Amino acid sequence: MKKPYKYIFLLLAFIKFGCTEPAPTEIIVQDIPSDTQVDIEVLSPEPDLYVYQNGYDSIGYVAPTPTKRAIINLSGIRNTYKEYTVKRTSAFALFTDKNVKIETPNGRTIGYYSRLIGKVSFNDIGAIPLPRKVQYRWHGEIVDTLLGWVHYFTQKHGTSSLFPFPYNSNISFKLEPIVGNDVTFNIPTPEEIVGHVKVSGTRRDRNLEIALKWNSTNVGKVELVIGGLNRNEISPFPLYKIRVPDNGAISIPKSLIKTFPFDRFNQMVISFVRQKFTVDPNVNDQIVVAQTVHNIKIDVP
Amino acid sequence: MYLKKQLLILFILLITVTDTFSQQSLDIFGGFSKLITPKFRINSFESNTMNYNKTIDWEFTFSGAVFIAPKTVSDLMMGSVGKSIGNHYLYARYTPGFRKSFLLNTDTLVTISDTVKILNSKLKYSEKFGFGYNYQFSNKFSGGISLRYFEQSYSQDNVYFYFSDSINTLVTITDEYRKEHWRADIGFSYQPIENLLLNVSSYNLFIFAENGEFIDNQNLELKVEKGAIFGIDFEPINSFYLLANLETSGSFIIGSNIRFNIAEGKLGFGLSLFHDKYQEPFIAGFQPSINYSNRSINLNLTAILYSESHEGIMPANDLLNSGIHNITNNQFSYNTINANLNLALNFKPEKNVEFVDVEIINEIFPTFAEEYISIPFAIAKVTNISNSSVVVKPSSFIQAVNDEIIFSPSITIQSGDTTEVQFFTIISESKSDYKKREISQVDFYLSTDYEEYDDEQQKPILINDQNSWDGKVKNLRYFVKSDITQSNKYAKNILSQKKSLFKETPKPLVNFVRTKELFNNFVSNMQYVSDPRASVEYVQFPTQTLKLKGGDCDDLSVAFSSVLESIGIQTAFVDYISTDGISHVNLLVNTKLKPEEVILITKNDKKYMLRKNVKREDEVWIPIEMTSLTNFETSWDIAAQKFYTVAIENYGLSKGSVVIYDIY
Repeated sequence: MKKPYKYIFLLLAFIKFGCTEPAPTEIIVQDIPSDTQVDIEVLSPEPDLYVYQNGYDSIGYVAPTPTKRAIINLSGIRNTYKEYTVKRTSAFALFTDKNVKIETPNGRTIGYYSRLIGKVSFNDIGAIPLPRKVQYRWHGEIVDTLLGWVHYFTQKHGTSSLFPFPYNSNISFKLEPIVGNDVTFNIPTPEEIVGHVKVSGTRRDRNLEIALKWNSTNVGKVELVIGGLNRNEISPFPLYKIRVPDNGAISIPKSLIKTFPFDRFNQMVISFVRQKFTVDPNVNDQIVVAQTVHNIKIDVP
Repeated sequence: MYLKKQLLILFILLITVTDTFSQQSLDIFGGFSKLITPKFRINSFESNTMNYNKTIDWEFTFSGAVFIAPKTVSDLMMGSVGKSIGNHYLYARYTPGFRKSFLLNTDTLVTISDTVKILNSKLKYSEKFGFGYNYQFSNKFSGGISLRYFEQSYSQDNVYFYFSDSINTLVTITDEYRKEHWRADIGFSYQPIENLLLNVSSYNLFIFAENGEFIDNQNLELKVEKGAIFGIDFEPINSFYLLANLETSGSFIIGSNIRFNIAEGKLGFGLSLFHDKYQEPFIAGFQPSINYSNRSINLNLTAILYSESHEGIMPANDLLNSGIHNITNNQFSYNTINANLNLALNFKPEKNVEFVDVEIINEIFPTFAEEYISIPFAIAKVTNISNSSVVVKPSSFIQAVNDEIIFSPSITIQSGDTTEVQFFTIISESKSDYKKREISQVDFYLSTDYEEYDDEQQKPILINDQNSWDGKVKNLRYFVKSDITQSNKYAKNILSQKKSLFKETPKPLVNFVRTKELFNNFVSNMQYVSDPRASVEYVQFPTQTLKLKGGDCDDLSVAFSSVLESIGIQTAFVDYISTDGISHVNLLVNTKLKPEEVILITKNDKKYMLRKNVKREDEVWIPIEMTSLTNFETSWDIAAQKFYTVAIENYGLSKGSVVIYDIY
């Protein structure tokens, strides 16, 4: 063998300076454009402060702290439990006074005071002024607080045919203020969302899987709100929200299912929410949204 | 014919295994045939599961790679050591570069206290090390086993929800899963003939010592479907190789190599194409290679280039649906350039046979070119010094007359035996005009299993000039045949002047009359001139005799024989061997007359002889004395009288003192 040392030297030099792991191959797990990502957000971060009793308010405008001066919300709601489904329509208009902040005794903001500023009607049906109450916890006790007034309308379908929610259409909004001119505009509504929940596995076997499907539009996003409920309670407790492309299907991440607080809740409520926002340039600091919500309550095996 | 037979065998084999062949078998060494560089193992488990090799003693291999994309980096791919002990061969390899990793972007954002975290997963596959063993059952048949250890890991960012009286929150935690396993495969190789190697091997035959799993993501584990690889290595012509490996999965790799002698070593080039069932397009990529090897080192440079780019962000479907079946070659592999270095450390004799002696038994007469194809010019005594019988391939190179090394027939020598080995050669027409005699050197080589020669010797040899003759009458025919065009021109010129004569000639007498007319014309212009005194006999080519208008007995016989042969008249030389060593040559001419027609030319039955043709029919041949230079009848009479007296009456033909040599 001729001069093996020369080759060994070259080899050692190669090892010293040349060993770099190639970059990994990047894989996009979901075959979707990068601007339509999934995100997860906790909805009830401070249970020791607020009582999240308002049920589902997926956009979080009302509870605990609305941040807009004017909020107009229209909801077409389906509630399903087993084979039963009930539909209803809900609408409210909230006008807050940001100069009046309501706080707990230790200075935590609960919300802004809201006022009645005139007469509000949806599709020419007048909304009813109702007191707006919230609850918070103070030294372990639940404290009721009045945060003002809200223009509110609700109706279960079947009890009246006055205001079935017109999906993929418009609802007219009219505000007749105490001072000033009337404000009138149409609020477009989204296509109705109808969800389906398939549960497999069991909690005990730690192989629980929850697959969600809905009628997709392939436009924009939908929100999936996961909440817990005890059989003796009416309002579910919202836990987190998953915002996904409106493509019709997703499986809830197994890690989220594994850590669902089944010791606190024996039922899950999964809400499918599709929203359509309207921007009125004449009204500042406002949000106008029409949404379709399908709440499905399931007993977790 | 032999080549056609081999190609037919190859074709049939390819047809019978059309449903097979492979991507498990893409080798980072470059797809060189196992029939070449047997001293170095320029392949590994991928294409050589059975560990077929001809390593002499120790061998060390180091392989590095440059990954061209997405960012050019280099990596140490493999280090291995091989050791042969008798018929056993042991092999071990460490493969730090046999790895593939993935970054799986789930496109899931988690919003926690106004901060956003992207959930990702990382997937890593690696083959850490392996062991091989081969046993040589015979010179033609061997089998072996390979063991390989694999590790895989899958780390996944998961979002967990924590719920308490005081706070609800999302946290991200990276969960990691690992899996290890061993893989064992077997393979066999069979070499029915020297230039054909068949092999069959398994892949993923035994998967054992499995530990761990990718919980909830088993689809991402390395696929270990079982299958088989069928391989063919074929050398249709010297130093040109074809090879194919077919897998039962439907994948295949085919390629060819060619090698040249250069600077005390060999330089080789190769190109392979591969089809992978799990990759697109049909020809997933190709593998050009270059290789240099000498006695101690082997250097290999090969590229693996994919038909479709594997760069950039890839969709998940391929990975999630079919996973990967091979760490070093899959639908996500990057283009690479691999450099391999083999070092051979031999502490054993590098030869099986050696020369005892070489004897030059025939000097070279360039004009007798065909002679040395059937008659050896040298004989060597060769001893087998190995512990088993070996097939010896003798070859030689005569600097003055050969363009390339000429191989002589192989011979099998038993262990410890000494045998005579014959060396033949082919005289190159382009090498020289052979105007003068010279001493040249002959390189004699012996080769067996090793690519390098087991032994070599050099001896001087006399190369005569083109007019030199060894005095053997039978070899005068080479002078006759060497210059037939000019003779034909001469004959046609003479015969064209006698057209009217031939019109009146009966058909059976055509050859006789033509011979007579040509002879009379030939001798009328010729003079008998003896050869100058010299150590070697000198024979003129027919052209020279016709041009010089003279020559000795040999020259005139050769020239007139050439004239007759050029127009289709058969001739033969009659060699009258005398005890004093001085031979005399007459010419025999086939008149094509049947025995019953001989009356047309003579009534004297001593003036002709009957010889059987290829149909076993008698034909009338007449002798001619070329030195009388008088006329045809006289020359015939002189020759006939001598032939009858010496060859017939004195039993010269029976005793062997008279020998007839046909020109063709």
